[in-house]
Amino acid sequence: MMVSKGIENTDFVMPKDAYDIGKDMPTFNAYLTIIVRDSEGKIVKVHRQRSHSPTFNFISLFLPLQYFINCNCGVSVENTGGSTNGFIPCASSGCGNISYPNTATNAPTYLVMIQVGSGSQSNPYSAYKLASPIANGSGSGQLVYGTPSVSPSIYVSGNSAYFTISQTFNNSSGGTVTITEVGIITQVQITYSNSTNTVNFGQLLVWYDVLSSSISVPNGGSVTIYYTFTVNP
Amino acid sequence: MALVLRPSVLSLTSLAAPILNGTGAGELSYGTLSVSYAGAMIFVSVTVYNLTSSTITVTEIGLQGTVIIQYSSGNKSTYNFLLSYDTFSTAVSVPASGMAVFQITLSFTG
Repeated sequence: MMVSKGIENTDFVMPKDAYDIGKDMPTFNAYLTIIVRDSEGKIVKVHRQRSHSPTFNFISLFLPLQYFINCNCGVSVENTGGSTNGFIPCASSGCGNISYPNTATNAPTYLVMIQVGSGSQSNPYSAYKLASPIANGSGSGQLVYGTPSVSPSIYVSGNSAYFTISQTFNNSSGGTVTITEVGIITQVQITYSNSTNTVNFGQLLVWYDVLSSSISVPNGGSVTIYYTFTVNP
Repeated sequence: MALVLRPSVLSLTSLAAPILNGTGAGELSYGTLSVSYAGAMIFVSVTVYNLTSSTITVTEIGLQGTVIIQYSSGNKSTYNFLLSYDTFSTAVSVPASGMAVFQITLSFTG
């Protein structure tokens, strides 16, 4: 290819009008809504903040197949137990691809929970587990985890569309429990197209946020956490 | 250049007038799709070559995805979908024997 004198560096210099000049709205947005109730069910706090933090695990699982074809490589995902697994999808037989989410008995891919914790991490992208997860239970410092819920459909309003993932936690610990970090955990299983072989990656932290201010859940109260993912907000 | 969302973009399933891959009149030769990532952003780019003798004008761009679902029976279902769609605020003219690189950045950081 011939390039005329003076524009040799067009591949490296971004046109000025391609930069974000503050007039463009992002086409994707995620935010957290946290509602705290006291022992009588009265709302005592509503917390909202932007969510910025997909993890490396999320990006790895979202990468298009073309990435793996071009580089002839794989990525390594790390589960909450610290074990790593290679992920090398392909379109031909012999490769493991993400199993379709369902509730079959063969431990397939599904949403495990929103997990809450009392720690924090400075680099959410590299997190593979919460810094200090709050255990599920009614002991001291624990919360009773409800079942995670996904909105039954994608809600559309004009050009905007969104869906939510939510979960309620009850505090039966006998004291106030403080939440400082939140994450979404999914179970991912790989199935091979040329056999019945499967590889279970275990529980993967795919989204992680440190709260901009801590959330105190009073004894006998509850907290509901909503993750909202929206396009064209 | 700025990109402008087309009204009712959510319901779109294809470009209004896709430019075909080829060397015939009004066609562009598509290079291999390139994918990379950095942090929470995924970059998808393609180089197109105008191998015709006339300028070709690009006014819209989209990212098309394909999901293949394989059932336990071995049967497969393929679904093509439009993941993103934009119209350019100003048209991009690719001159005869020229080329252009289009890159779409998927940012998950909001």
